[in-house]
Amino acid sequence: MKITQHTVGDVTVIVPVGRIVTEDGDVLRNVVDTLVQQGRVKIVLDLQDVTYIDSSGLGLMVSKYVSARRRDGDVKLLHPSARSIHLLEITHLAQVFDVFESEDDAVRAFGSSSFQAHTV
Amino acid sequence: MTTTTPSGRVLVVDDDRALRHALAALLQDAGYQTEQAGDGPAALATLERQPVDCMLLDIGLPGMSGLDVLARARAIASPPRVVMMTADDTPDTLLGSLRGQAHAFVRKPFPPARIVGIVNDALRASAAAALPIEVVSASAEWLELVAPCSLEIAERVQDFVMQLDAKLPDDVRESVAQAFRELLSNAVEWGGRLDPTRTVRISCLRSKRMLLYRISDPGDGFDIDRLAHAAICNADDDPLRHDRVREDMGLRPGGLGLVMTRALVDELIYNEKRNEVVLVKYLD
Repeated sequence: MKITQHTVGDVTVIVPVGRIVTEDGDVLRNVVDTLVQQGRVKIVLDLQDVTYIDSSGLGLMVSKYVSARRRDGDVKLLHPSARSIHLLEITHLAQVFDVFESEDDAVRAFGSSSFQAHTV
Repeated sequence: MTTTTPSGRVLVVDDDRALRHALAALLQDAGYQTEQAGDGPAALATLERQPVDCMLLDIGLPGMSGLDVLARARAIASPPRVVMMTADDTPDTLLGSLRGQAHAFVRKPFPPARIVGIVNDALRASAAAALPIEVVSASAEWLELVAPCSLEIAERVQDFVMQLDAKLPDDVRESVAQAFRELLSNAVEWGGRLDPTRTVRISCLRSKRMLLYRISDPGDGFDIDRLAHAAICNADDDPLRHDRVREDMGLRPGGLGLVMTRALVDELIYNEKRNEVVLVKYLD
């Protein structure tokens, strides 16, 4: 997996390319852990170029969401495929993650009251 | 961004000169040393002269077929990891490749640029990924394999098995592939403890009206009442409960496989010990 990232204000947009699966999860885990340690806890995960997510990958996304939320941040999802949305629905995680189709909307959402939408 | 320059020698074997050159050029650009051969005897002569790390091998070669080359290549002292390529979409070539212990199988046509990723994956895989898979039955209607407990082997098996289902509607194929992957990963990781000296038995049956997969692992099974760390036990309004439990237990993130699998197939049946599972997907 390759990952690029860029910032928009205090929001970091992470763009993984490839699969988020058991074997390749460490790269994404390390990137998010580093951001959280630096206090950069407003994270958008752009799934545009993610070709496959398995249950471990989804579990990793949950774990990073939880660690960001504990520091008053959030992980929001951008451009999930129809398949990814289906996986979120059948695992009841659609009620956890905020999902966006536009980077502007995802970034802007950090300034709204969406922080209070969920409890961890 | 993390980047690494690949290294290794790759032999491209195809009688289509233009495709062979295009694949070799792409691999060279990616950092690989390449050799080329236009038929089976030339490929074997190259292997005897100097070992290669990976061989891209067309099946429909003139004279000696790619499957014959695969069998001969497996017999040399340091066999390469072999990726079979073919335009033949019948199950026979796929099953022949599996029986011949090919590492991977790719159907033509494919975007040439994809080949770099395929070779990267083949060469990055650990030694365990190259362990032999025992083929008990290799008919399209009844495929039965015994495979070492390794995630990389599981990935190889899944790749082969799912190509047998290539003609199914996308949504059915994707659901079955994901469910099969989850169950097989569970079997080798939790049942087999990722110990490649232990094995899982995998049966894939295809009838006109259903697909049936049975996976038997060497573990002791599990008690579903003790799976608080799995999302299958979450209340509908508390989808993160399993994650808190896993953190308390010191487990890595996860626990979503069962709940995901149950929703993707029509039936999911465990034996009493829960070290064997059958998944069924109806086609009508």
